[in-house]
Amino acid sequence: MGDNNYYVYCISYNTIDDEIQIMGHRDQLVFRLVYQELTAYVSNITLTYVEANYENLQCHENVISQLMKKIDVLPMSFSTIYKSKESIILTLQKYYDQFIRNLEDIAGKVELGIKVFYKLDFDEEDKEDKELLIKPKEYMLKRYERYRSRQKKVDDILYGIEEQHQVLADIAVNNCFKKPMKNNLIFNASYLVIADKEKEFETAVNEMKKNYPSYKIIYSGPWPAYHFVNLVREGEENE
Amino acid sequence: MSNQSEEQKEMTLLDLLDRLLDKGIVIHGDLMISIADIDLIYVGLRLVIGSIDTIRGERKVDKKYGR
Repeated sequence: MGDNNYYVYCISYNTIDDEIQIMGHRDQLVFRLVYQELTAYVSNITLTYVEANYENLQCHENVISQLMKKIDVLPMSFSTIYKSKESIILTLQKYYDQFIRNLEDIAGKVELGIKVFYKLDFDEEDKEDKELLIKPKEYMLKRYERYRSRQKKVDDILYGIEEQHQVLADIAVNNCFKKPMKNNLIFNASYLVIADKEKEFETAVNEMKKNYPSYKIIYSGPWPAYHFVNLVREGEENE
Repeated sequence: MSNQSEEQKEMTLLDLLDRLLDKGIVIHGDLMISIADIDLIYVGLRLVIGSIDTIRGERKVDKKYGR
């Protein structure tokens, strides 16, 4: 404790000449560490990890968002803390080609996200079925029937969403998605979109909302391209 | 605080967690050891996440959800 460590927010090309006046964690000024064409954006920190609470997550994101207004950035994962400036430079050196390639891939693009919620409420059905508990065979048959009809309902919902997802994917240059089916969240997708197409994308999301009023569709962005950083670690190439 | 802004805050938190914790450039300590035989980096100690309530702070909702 008390040692000076370095919190890294993101990596970018070495293109900003002006002084940056951005405050990072614990109100420390963000500064640059440069290796050839690359820059790491860093602030001093005495901690060895930063707790993942709302304020700290926002702070990490705010630093990157401000830089994103001026330059393309590769965001670091939260709470990446180095012991020395030299070790940050070593990382830039070791992954130089990969960082450059990633920066080329995301140049002029932003990440946009949608989350689709659908309230699957089966409480009434479950209550009804409980009344059949005194007739075990009928109860089991009923439950099986319910299971099948619920499965079909979920499939139908996802089918509709996947159709809409395709419209968004066609506007984007890359995308990734999950179907969590937890806490009413049934579809969670991120899209890498050329910045000029952000408006077009937003219009398509609004259309999606209109077409599916019973779904709750949350649109967010622009984010740094968190989901589209592709770093192959040494030793993992053939795995 | 209205329900709407509480809900927005939940959404912001969900999106932040979704992205910041294991996306972006993820550097692990084990990978750094191959650079030099010294311990260079602190990572992997950060995920102390309990319930959503422990993560939720009182900071204002991010502008990203003004739509």
